[in-house]
Amino acid sequence: MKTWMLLIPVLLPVIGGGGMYFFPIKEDRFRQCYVFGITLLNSLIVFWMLIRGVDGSFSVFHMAHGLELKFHIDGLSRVFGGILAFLWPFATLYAFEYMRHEERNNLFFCFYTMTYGICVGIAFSANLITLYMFYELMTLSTLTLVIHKLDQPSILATMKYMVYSIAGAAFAFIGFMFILHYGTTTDFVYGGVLDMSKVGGRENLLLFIFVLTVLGFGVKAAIFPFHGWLPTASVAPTPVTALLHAVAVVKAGAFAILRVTYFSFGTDFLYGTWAQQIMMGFAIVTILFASSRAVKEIHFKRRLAYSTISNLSYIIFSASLMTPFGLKGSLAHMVTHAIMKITLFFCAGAVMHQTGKEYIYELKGIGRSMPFVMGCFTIGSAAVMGVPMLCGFVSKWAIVTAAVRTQIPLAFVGMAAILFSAFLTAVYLFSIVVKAFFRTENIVEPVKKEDPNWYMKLPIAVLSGMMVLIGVWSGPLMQLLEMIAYGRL
Amino acid sequence: MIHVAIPGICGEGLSFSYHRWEIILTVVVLLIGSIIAVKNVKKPYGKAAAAGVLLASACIFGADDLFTNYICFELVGFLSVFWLADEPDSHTSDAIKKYVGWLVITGMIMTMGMFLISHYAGTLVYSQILSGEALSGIPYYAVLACYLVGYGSRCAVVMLHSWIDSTYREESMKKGILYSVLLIPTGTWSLLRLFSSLTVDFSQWKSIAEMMGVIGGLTIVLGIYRIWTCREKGVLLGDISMLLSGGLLISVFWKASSGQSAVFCLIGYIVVIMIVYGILLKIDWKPKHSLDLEWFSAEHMLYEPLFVHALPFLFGTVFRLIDYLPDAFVALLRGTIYQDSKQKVWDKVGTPATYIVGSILDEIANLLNKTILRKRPIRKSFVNAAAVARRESRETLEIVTRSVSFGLMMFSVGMMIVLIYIMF
Repeated sequence: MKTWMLLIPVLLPVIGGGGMYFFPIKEDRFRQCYVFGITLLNSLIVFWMLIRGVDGSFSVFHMAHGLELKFHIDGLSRVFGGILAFLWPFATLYAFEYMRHEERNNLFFCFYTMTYGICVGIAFSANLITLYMFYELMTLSTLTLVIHKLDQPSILATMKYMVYSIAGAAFAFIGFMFILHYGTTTDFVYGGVLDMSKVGGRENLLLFIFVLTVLGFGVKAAIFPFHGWLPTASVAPTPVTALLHAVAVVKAGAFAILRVTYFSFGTDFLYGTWAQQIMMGFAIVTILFASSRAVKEIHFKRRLAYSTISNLSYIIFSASLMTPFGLKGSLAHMVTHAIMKITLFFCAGAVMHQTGKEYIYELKGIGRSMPFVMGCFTIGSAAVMGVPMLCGFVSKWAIVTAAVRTQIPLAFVGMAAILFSAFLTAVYLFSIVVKAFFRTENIVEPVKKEDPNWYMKLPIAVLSGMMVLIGVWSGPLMQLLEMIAYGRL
Repeated sequence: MIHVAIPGICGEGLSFSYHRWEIILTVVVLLIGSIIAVKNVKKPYGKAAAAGVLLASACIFGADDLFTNYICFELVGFLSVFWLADEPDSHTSDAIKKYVGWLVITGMIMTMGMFLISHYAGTLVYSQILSGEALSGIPYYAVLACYLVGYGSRCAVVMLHSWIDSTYREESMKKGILYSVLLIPTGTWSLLRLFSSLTVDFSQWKSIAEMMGVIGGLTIVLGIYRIWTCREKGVLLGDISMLLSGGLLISVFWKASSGQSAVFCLIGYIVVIMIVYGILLKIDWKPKHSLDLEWFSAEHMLYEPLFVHALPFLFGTVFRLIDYLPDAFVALLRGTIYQDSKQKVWDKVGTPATYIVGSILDEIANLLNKTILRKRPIRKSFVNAAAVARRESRETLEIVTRSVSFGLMMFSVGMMIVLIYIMF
């Protein structure tokens, strides 16, 4: 396969989506066909590329000082690209129904589709400058999606999102500059690119810069205390919170952290240093903090947002172990959390869409009127808790096993934090399930079935099935991730 | 012997071996469990869950390693939740909350024990776990404690028995028997299987057996007291199960480390509990009132004060405060170095343009009010509305501009640090 073809899945959604801005489509059905056509086609192209593989990289253009915009496909690209290509069509299908009664649909789907291409750009980026550019583009393209409702909360949420994102990117940029100066290249190379002859004597400075970079990219991955934008951004329409704020945007942050840790600074340089301890410390505090906050949160989507913050830090914690097993755990949780959390958000969105209920105390007995949605929510909740035979167990197991193998004392603390977080997860998610199905004592009116139509139900059903499938038959996935984690793919 | 290995399941793969006595035990449990489930569970999902529990229970009896046992043990626990929901009433939600709480916490503790074994012994296969130098001293006792809590709670041993009160109730007694017949034998079997793997000589086994004897004895004493003071028939079944469970622990651990006698004890327990259940179904139980010993359990002495009250309060309060810190920092910046410029004179709300547009609209509204809108006149001042709209749009624009400039400032700071560093 020609390397220039790597541009297709990046440009197709950007051009296709951007076209709707200049040539708006009035008919809902035409717009849906157009958007879904582009999304599905792009996903098929991405999958085709991920399976076939593309040898080498494609340099789009050179800038000054050896900087170039460059794409390639390696193991990590496969994981992030695969997640995007699998989930985007389902999320689009769901969005059609959810946005049916909203305004400015052309604008929404324009940026929604463009973001797909930009995220693929992040996945396929071959060096730090390309990653950084697409990372910033993603901030800009998603701003419009958060502000979509144009009311006061949306404006405030957008401001917060923008301030946090741009400030975070500034710190990440510092890391980029140092890699440019102290690295042999800015390309992603398994094991890192630092030129130790240049580093000599400045190890602590570089470790400090690494921490800054992780915290910078960590803003998108909602590391405490830079997580504030994520719960606030839950005012956005549910397809945005589900796909972007539970999967694409936040995972892009985690993906960038994996890139700088394993492919830029390198684990040989970082392992056993104070920088590793700090990264691990931030992850552990975030896990405990976000799980505890979720317990006390009464807004449905915000509770899920705190859960996302906690789970993202599982990924970062596993990455901070800086071993191949740690990387495997990170990647596994990236995959499983994407599926679990998008399902939970879809369920929450379906409840809000069908009943207008946003707060958990309003959900009493909702399982009777929406049995399908709340049934899938129960499966998702059990998966996030880590119940065996569901996908969350597989990734949590991989993370905790990796932590034990390192024999680092702080890793054991992290393991305990993850286990305690599992208990808190049971509290904050199962309390919703119990309320939905069993708190029916004062409900006297007849049950009115309110499950949504198949535009919404199909994605929820397929993703729930995936949670079970990965949970039961995770061997091939884990083998693939192990190959990636050892740099063999 | 039957050996089954399923690689790739749950990441690590599952492995089972059934010898003669394990096959007998599995067949007995499957047979009796199936009969009770078919007869007593009404809802389809309850029946499906019962099938899952039966299958997982059968897998526990043949598990070759601790990971396989853990997976099946957790499945038995979580699937058995559905029986509580089979005929929901006003107590169901509390019962489920309590039961799931127990499952999660004991699961958490067992996971810790499992990782301790994996870390020190380097394997989870029963036949390879040795309590030699690799697993000894504090880690050894920590493992014992973890599994005693994990499996012991399933056996309803003393202090870990409080789930009985919410799970076994008069209305749901027909489901309660499932817990007795399936959960308690799997808990006892798992304890026996692991603890026999953790011993290399008779003296070690003897010390474990003594410990189990004390726990079993206390469980029997508490069980008798609870039966004596029991207020409802459903709970009575649970209390009798608890009493028999205590006896089971003593007999299994004193007689042999595994095999024939353990299987006989477990089958004996199942037969006795079935007879008791049959009798209970036929008799009327008169409620009794006496000293309440409900507080005497880990749930009331540890779980509720610590996990339900202290920790959520601590984390909730501390983290809520911390959560506001970044926002407070931004607010501080806005109030100090990013303070709005002070207004020297009061702004006029509107402009000539908004006044003209508003006046024209007001006149049109007046005209409409006198003619076609006489019944429902417009009482709004468009001069005021236009001025307010202009003010709001200006403020929004200003907020967005300031946010962008704040972000750009942070970006510039980053750039400057880099440039300074590179230059010097």
